[in-house]
Amino acid sequence: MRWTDHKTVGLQYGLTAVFFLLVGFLLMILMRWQLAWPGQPLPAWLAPMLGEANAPGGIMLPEFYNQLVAMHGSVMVFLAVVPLAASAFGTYFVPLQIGANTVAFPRLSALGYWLYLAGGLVMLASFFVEGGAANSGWTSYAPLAVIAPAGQNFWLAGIILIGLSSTLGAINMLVTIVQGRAPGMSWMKLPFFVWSQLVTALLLLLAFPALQAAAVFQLMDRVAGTSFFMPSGLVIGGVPLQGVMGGGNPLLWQHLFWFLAHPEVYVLILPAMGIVAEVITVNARRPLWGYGLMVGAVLFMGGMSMVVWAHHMFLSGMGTSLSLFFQVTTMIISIPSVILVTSLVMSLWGGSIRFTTPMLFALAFLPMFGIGGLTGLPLGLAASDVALHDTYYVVAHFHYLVGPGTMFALFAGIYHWFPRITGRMLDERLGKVHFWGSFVCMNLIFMPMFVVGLMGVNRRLYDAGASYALAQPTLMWQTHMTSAAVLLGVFQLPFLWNLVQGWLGSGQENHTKGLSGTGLRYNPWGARSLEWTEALSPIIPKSDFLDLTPNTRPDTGTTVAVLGNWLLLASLTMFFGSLFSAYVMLRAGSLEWPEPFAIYPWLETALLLGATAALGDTRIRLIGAHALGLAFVAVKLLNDAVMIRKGLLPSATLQLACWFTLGGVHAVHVFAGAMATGWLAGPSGALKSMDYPRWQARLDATRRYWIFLCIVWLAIVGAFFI
Amino acid sequence: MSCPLCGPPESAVIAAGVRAGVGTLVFVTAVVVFAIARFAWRLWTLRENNG
Repeated sequence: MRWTDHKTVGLQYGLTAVFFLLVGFLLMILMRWQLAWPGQPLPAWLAPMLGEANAPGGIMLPEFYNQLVAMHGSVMVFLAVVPLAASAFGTYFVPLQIGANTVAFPRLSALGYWLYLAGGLVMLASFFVEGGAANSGWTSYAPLAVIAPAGQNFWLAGIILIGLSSTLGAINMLVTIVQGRAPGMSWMKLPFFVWSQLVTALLLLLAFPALQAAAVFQLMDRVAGTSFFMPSGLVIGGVPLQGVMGGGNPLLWQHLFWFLAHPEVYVLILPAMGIVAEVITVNARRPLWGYGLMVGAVLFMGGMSMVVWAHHMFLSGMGTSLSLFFQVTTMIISIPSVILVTSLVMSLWGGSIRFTTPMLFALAFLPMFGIGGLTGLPLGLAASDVALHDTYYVVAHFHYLVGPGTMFALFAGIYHWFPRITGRMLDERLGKVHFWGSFVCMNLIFMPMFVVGLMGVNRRLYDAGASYALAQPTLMWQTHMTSAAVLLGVFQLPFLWNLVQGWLGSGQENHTKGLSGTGLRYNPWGARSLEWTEALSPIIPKSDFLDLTPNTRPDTGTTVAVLGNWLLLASLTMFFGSLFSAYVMLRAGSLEWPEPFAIYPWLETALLLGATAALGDTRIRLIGAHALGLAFVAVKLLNDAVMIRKGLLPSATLQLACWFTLGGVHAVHVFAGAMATGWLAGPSGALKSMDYPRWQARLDATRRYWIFLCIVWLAIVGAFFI
Repeated sequence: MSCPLCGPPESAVIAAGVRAGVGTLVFVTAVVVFAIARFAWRLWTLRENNG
């Protein structure tokens, strides 16, 4: 086993995501128990696990319930469903489907996995720190999250690590698809699954940096006492909040958060659609209906998903003009969704359908996604959102998209591709028990939530509304939903048993239904895509990234290194753009803004420009650039220390908070650039004599990075001093 | 009482800030998306060279 092999990394992602899926599920069961029987002791075997601090006498505290809510959402979205949908399936199957021998950057792929694992473990570790885990919802809205206990810091650190992992994964996926397609694998011959992964990677690349920027700001608010998200005059429990300068804007967090979190919905749903398309074509035994239309729709949907984010914020007081803009974009994005679902349904028409377990899950996905999507329309219109916002209706809506929607597609993918991974079928009888049990239970859980929500019950009440008259008729639904949730857990046992049995090799083997006449063991479905047929088609040439890396592809006009470099810069542009947007929002939203606080940073500017100019293909120039870069960081640190000694603290004004944060983040990037340049001069120098074009590609990438850093620095200095 | 959609009337300056910040974010996104679209167009024009 090679740790950098894309199949190994894909499996690592998959198994880890299934582990986190179980964690998220258990958190949900605890929540549901509390909602069904509020104020009553948990079962005797369960209560000791939570501890007296969280459940004195076995009765769950509201504070612990809030932790469950926040961590269930965070674990499910960031650690379970997205990594399973995008990273696991994508890393394993995209190279196989496009005929590449690996991913473009195998070591980055492995690094991405370990960053994801570290981020997940950091998040979960927060349960064991004083005050417990993050408790401000998976949205971590400020100012609530800023004054939350220390667990919130773990949440933020986890988000930054997971964001890094997503960015590396997205660059890898995009370069792999663009540069790694086998000869003859033209764009319009790509399986739809690959298109879905391509658009997913683009969304992750462009959207995640905004949340990382927001996480940096929130960490500064919590650790350095800045007020990016803290408004003036904040009163908590009737007591004015002391020691906070204020003047910040809580809406800033919401904008940056939803800038990621809405595209994240499409990051969930697009790979799911890709898997469903794959399963439907194989089991209906006919090609996709409207393939070109679907490709256009998924591209349009990806683009539009970047400009719908504030439909989550109609009640935040952001203003009617912005509300109008986001209502219109939200209505528009429903069109490609309908195109995709319609095409998938039409693909069944005239097919010779086999109702295998993956097909059952894929077929169930269609109406479940339909219910989730259609019930989202009233939430996308401000007038109806006023009534529905923050009720159980919203919970039902997005769980239909993620639970019986995306998860069913992921189950379909697991059942479909398990034989390709292991050479063995999963047991069909157990699979059907799993499907029907899950299908019934999912609907029993989420359908009543629409009713509860339409009756006006708020989604965040830890007693499910037992203390409100309007919620009394809905309390019995809460008990039913919890029973269905427990039953849903029971119906996952056949699935887990099936996986273990199949993995260990004692599962039902089915070699007789292999691709007609080939005797190929692991193609029980008779699928025609490359991941199933590669072994029997030696005439299909594969793309070898070792050959491709330094060479320009004639059909893309670029190389692996250049494309990867530009995608990294695109992601960094979004990151620094998000930081700048925050600066603009705070400055334009302040009645007064102080004069520049220090002399113009001539020395830093000269050092940075000098480092960029010094960069060249001789060792002395590289060492010079490395030294000048490090000198920039040292002078910046020194200047900041002097400012702090003079009382110009980050917490003193919003202007200083922006300066220290933007400048600090930039300095971290300069340090990384200096280290990369030192590596070019040192360890990587040997490559220069052996393979000059490859070394030259590294040098060019480093130069572009330095130029980018200069532009960002000049923009920062310009914004603050001119 | 303030309108739930517009916010309190004294927040005009904050609302202006929000519009400016969101506008900057949309602008940066548009620039990056345009660059990606330009590259996609180049891929489309070169597509016949595969094979």
